[in-house]
Amino acid sequence: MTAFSPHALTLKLLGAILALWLGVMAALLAYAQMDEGETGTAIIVFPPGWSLEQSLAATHRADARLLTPTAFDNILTVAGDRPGLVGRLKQAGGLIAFRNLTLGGISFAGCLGGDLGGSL
Amino acid sequence: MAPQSAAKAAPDTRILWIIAAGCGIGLIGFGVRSDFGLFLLPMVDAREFTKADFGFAMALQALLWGLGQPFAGAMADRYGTARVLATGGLLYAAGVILGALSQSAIQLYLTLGVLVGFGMSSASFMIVMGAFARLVPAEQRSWALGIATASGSLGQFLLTPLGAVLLEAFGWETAMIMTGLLCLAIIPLAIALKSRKAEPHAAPSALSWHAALAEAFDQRAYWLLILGFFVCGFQVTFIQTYIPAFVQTRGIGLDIGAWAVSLIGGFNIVGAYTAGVLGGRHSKKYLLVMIYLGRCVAITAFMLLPITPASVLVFSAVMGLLWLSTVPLTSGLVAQIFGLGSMSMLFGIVFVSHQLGSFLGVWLAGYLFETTGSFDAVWWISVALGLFAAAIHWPIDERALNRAAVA
Repeated sequence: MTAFSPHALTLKLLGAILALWLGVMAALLAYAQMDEGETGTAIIVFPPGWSLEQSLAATHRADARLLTPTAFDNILTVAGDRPGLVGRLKQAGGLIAFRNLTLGGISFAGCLGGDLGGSL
Repeated sequence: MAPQSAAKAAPDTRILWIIAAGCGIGLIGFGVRSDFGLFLLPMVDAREFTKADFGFAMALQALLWGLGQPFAGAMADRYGTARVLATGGLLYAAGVILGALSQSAIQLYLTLGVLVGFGMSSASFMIVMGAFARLVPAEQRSWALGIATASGSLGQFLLTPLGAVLLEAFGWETAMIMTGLLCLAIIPLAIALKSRKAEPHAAPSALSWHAALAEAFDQRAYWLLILGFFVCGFQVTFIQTYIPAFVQTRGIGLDIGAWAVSLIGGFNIVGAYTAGVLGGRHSKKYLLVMIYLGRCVAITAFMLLPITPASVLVFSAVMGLLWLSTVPLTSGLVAQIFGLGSMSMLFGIVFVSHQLGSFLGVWLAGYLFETTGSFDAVWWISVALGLFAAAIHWPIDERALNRAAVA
């Protein structure tokens, strides 16, 4: 017979749920990222620790324009017209890019702290 | 005392499976619901219905969820939790999947409104709580009610970003169908909560539905719990719905409002769990008094001090801790006073009151904002209601009903 420990069980359960969630999220994020040949609007993630100036300079080098900053200096919503925007952003230091997506009326960038455009 | 020895003898693995399965159901049941907002704009763009149609389907869903809860609870009390949960999972999944295929407003009402509404009432963490109360030894009951509530909150916290990434990866229609398929996982998870034989701590349900209702409504404590939960619904739904708009009226960016909602969700997980743990050690009614008073203090300080991004975030964290912390304590009091035989049904009725409070909070805030241009009156009404709720919980007699004396 084992003594029952509620908090230990809670932590085990939480750990298992978070591990499962992180695994599924990682797989989905990898699947959802934009291809290097794509262009248009993108959420670009630069390396953690980059300053806003570094992120903006990389955006400029990639021939993209800033649409909105976010609460994180290394994540920007950018746009470009020339094909291959995502590839150029990655060459300039970007790690991963996603399409601009909407969460119940708030743009993804907005949720992270950028301009929300009064959409609520 | 039998539950004491059962607790010591209970192997970790058995309790683990029961709790894990119940939490999985709570997580999916409450979490999938929070994804619906993601589908609003793409659905309206792609189909022949309007935002108002979508809103009506959501309102219908919330109404039927609340109204269906006592009936689902009664069925769970009488025929076992697993069947009700499995049926709920099936209805929920069908509603979401068929909702994705809806072409007209009426189809949307019938799927996301009716099917999902009844599915949620049958596959909600409220039904899971009834099962936990029966399956888990008495001294762990409050903790179990807390973890069931926290799992629902965790579901909201984890499944919203998951839904957003699904939407990004596969488009709204496929993402919605996948979300519906996730609801089917409730069916196998319900098996762990199966069979009344496996509910060793359940009191035999000697009372008929009618007798259980008559007995409960004859007790002042039940009326006070119903009134108190109305206040909870009023406060939390008003704040959750309008805090982004409120902070904007005070010149603070909507991004802070979005962070506020996230912080409430995150701290809610901690608050619900902690309330469950504390409810096993201390008087539940006094904890409820403290929670309602705590909300009053938090709202008053928030309104009287200068409103800044920092004050919004601190307020949100505090309110998050006090958010669904009322749920394990209120449901625990229902079980403690009236026993486990009709707990799901009786708590389901208390929950209807919560939903009515939610409706009034959201409607009144919108109405007063339209007429006065400010949310201030509703904040102060929330404080007054909070004081009322604290006052009415104080005299509740927490002792188990003495049926011999009542008879």
